[in-house]
Amino acid sequence: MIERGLELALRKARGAEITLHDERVSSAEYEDDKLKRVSASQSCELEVRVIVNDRIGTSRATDAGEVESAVSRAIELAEFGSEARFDFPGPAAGPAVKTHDPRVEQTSREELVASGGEMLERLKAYNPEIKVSAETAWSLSRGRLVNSSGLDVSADYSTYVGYVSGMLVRGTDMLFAGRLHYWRSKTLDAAALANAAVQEFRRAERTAEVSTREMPVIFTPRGMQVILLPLLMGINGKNVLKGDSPLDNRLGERIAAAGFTLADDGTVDFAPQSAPYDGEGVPRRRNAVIRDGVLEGFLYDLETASKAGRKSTGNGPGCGASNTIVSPGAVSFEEMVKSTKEGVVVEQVLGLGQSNAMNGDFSVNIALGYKVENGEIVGRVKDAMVAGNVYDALPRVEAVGSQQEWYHTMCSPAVKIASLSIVAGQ
Amino acid sequence: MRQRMEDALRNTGADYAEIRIERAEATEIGFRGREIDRISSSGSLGGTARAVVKGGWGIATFNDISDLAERVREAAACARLVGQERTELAEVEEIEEIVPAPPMQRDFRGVPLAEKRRVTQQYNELMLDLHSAIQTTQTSYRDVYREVYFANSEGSYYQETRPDVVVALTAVARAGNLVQRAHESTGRAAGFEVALGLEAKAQAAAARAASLLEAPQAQGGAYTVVLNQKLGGVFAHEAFGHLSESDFVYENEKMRELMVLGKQFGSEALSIVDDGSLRGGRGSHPFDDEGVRTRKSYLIEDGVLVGRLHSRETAAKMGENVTGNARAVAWRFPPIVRMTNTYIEPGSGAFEDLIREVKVGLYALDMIGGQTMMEMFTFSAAYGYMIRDGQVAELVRDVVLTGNVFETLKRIDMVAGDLAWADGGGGCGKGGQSPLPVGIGSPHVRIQGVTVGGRQ
Repeated sequence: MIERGLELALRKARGAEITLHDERVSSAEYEDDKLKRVSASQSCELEVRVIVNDRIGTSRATDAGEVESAVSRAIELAEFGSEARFDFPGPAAGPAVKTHDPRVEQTSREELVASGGEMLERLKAYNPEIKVSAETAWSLSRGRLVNSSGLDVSADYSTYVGYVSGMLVRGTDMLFAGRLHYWRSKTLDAAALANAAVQEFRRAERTAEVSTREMPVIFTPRGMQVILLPLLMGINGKNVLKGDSPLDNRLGERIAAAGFTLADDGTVDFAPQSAPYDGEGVPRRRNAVIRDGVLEGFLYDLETASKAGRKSTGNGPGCGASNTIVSPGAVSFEEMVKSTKEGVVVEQVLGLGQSNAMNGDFSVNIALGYKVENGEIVGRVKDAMVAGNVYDALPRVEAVGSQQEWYHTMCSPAVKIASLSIVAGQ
Repeated sequence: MRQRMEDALRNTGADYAEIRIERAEATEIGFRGREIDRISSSGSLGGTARAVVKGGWGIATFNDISDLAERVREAAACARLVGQERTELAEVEEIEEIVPAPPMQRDFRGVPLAEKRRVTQQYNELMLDLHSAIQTTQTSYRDVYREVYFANSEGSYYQETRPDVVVALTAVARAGNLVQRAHESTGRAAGFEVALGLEAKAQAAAARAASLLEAPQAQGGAYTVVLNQKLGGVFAHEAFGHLSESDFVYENEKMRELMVLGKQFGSEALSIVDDGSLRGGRGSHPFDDEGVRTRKSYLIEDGVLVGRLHSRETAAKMGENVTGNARAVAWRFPPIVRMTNTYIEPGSGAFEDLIREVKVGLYALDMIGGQTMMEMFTFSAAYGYMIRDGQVAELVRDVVLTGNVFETLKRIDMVAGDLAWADGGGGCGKGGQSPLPVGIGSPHVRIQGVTVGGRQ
């Protein structure tokens, strides 16, 4: 059917690409201490891109049987589409990266229910007052990409997800804490995940006072989203090409403290964004972005690369990052805390991406964070914000942690910034 | 379609079952800077079957509608793994209705692509040419024509046509390393006319982005803050509205204690309403996605908590009346408790009365976004002005407001009489379902002692 679509497209188009994804998802969700729902999903996504007179048109459908009408819609749209001075890539060997664990789709609904239940029980055992939500889920996606340059690649992708969170209400005070495990292979350790969530509640048992002023801030691996999300906008090749990124003229310059190294890597076995090819059939790879504080490169897709006079980095379409990896440093999290006289540990925030993130600004509520006094965590910080600018903060990285941890598509150690503005509430 | 759905719902073995199918056609055009960035068309057909067995829910979502009975059986099999109690769903009237599309002066499905592109491009050029500081833009047009079919095992059936047109305009200004953006949008369930006549919005976005380059950042600290109508509406929605969604409350004793009806929740100046039956609202529908008729519900009246938003399940379990607030954003999602059109009722007086006695304060306008985590809220104004000695003074940027909702609601001390609805094309997100069109309205509102984030 896909071949037929390609043939049809090439009667009018000089290039064509057809992508098909079939996905199945199975999940079990607990809310407020109870198993609330079990779900099964089946979906199909067909995407057609054609290049006609050096312009691109895109169409989508949810039924592979619609390929012919999708092709004619894409051709009709291409007349008005964006300029495409590139060709779809021909066959090239992608990295030997693992993206599918057959144990994932063999997991029964009963097992999902049971492992969610185990996480719930562990949080309840620590404190029965905590209201627990949990989710366990898997997905299996079969993808195929065929284009007019002779590329025809297929791959299976699995994901296995575990999530547990709790809410503790005392008067009008509510505390949320939780943990997420998201990986392409079936490696969820439900007990360990629940124990990590319990650890967060333990640390937050006491609250501590914080006053409005500049102080050192330690971002945990999860808290590092505050720094990484604006930075990922800045290294997106399209934002660079359009002049939106504050990094556009800074290639080769020092933008972060020595010791801060960041890569985009779509070739880590079983990592959430890993794949042999990106969405345009370009092999995924590891891209050095910041090496020892120096900006080394941006991320590109085919269209943007052709306009910027570069090569695709395997981040198409859209120039978005695959997996973001911050290299580990030498200092343990404990040592980082120990060396802090007065500061804040930021674990989870509220309001991410609402500031002028393209400019690097952040101003977020600390949903879960801890006060450090004289080298010790003394309690949870409440009603406070942390604010600053990523591009001001990166040169002031004081320490990079030795222990990396994954959160969604980001893998980072804890990172300590010499000082940031903390604004305390009433 | 109706016959197939009803056949599939016979003899399911579940206590209750329903099917919702949605067919949608969408066109999207995006400019970035001078160039067109994307143009795409999509068609989708898919649905969700839900079943309840002994109080437990099973859900099956699908694109393949060839065997609906099998999908319902799958949902029922899932539900059997969950159910251990008694199924409780509030009784509702049986319905049978075909809801026509809202009036479209010009059906966008008949508008040539070239015209859609030209209109979008014209706003884009207007922004780019307004000021030399405008570095780039993001201008988008999107239309969706959606047909929804719903049937349940109790014999209810409805069909609704939901067109939607959204134009979003973002201007990005730059001076050296400083980048500032300003955003305007509009969205309505209507025809192509929604996309016409937006020149003033385009100019406003570009002018504001340029002037924000010169504006200082708001200084962090606690202020008397006056919210404009759009931001007041976001506040009502984000900071309070989500707490009134009963799925957070009905099986959580602590939340039930906290949200007990009759409790003084805010100052007497404050009344908050949700109304899905409002004519022409962005969140308006005759029925919700469980086939329940929408209506006007007071959430806070004169500062007292008087109501909350329900699905059939939460209403039954809390022994309260249904409100018609179970909504699903698209075919692949089950309905969950959501707001429709939420607004702060107007008080009296004008904006000037709110600022007259403020020595140093902040006038915060429009929104970039808002988020809550139950008691804590954060919302970002698009821009603000300092208030000095009772007058609106200099423009400031990066105005992020945060706080504890219970304390903040009590500190609302003045509500003006100038209710207005936000003309935005955005939507609400919850449980991975986004963007759900919602109406957001408010008069100008004054709050004492709000924490504003920013650098010292």
